[in-house]
Amino acid sequence: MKLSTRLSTVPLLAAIATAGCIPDVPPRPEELRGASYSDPLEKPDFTLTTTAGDPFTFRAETDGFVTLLFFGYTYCPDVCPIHMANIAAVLRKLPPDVSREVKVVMVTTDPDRDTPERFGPWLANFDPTFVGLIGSLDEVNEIQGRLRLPPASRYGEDENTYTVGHSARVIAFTADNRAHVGYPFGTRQNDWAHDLPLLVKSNWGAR
Amino acid sequence: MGVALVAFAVSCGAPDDSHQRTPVTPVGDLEITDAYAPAPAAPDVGSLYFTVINRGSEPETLLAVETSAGGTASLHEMTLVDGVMRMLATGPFSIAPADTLKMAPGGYHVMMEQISVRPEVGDTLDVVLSFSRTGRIELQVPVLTYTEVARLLQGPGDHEH
Repeated sequence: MKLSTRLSTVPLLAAIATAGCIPDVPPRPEELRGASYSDPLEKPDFTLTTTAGDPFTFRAETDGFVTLLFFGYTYCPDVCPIHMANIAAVLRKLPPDVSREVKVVMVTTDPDRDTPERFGPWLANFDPTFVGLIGSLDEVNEIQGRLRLPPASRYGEDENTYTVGHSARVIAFTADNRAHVGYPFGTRQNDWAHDLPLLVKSNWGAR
Repeated sequence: MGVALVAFAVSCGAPDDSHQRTPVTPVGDLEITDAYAPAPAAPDVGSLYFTVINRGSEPETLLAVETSAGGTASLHEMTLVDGVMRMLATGPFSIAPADTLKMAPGGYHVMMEQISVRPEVGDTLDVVLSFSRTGRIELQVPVLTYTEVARLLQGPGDHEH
């Protein structure tokens, strides 16, 4: 009895070792700190313009990567920079074989004020590899709709001091080009540090 | 009305300062604690956080905030309604006896706009709070990175090991 148990364990251990400890199954929702989608989101196919002025075809450019997508704006002094700073700090601390598999993309919900000259340096404060995308508010809201996010909307009349209401959720796409989990505001660095390796090493979309 | 000067010491960059509290400094019936400002990511917009505890028997109202960054400073509250995060100006903010105004990301903050002197990491931001009863309280607020500010929010049990 005992012998047969041992024997059957050996090939499994060998398989795990050769696969670099990649788990055989995707993480279960309860293993992740983020909020799991019961119905995963399909990665949208859209093209917007980077802060460097280049077209960025989201689905193709991020294919195969864990991709964190966030909609926010630079006149947001609280939620947006905290999210970006948390993610950047965690990526700096994670092993390179995890962090190089993660792309971070932020789309501005305030294209009138978030010029490339403003948005580019703002995002580079956190991590120069983060991609900032600009499109018309209609385009951006259409993309948000496909992701079941509410549209961004402007509050206030003054051209300088209006605010923009927007989703505070970061959507995490995995290598299968779907999002199984999202991260609300309040997600802490330890939560990201816990989940990002699981998302990278998950076999959702194993190639 | 006297002016009280309150200085805060936050050790920046310590690897495990996540649950450190700034000294509690009473001024009249008020205690001010946990004051910090992230270095703004934008040239003209930033935020500032502190906590006010009213130890007195009368309500106190935070009437105004001024900072050495120039421009305007106003108390805002973040609210999440139907999945939309909005920022609302609160106006003068009343603090009942034994009550606390706690500012933290995702909740209350002072938003600084049209900044003329952009605070840098390691700077000290001079802040003047005007209260209805206690009058003016001056704070010297450490300017941290956003990463450090996010760390300060982590509760006990969230320490990294």
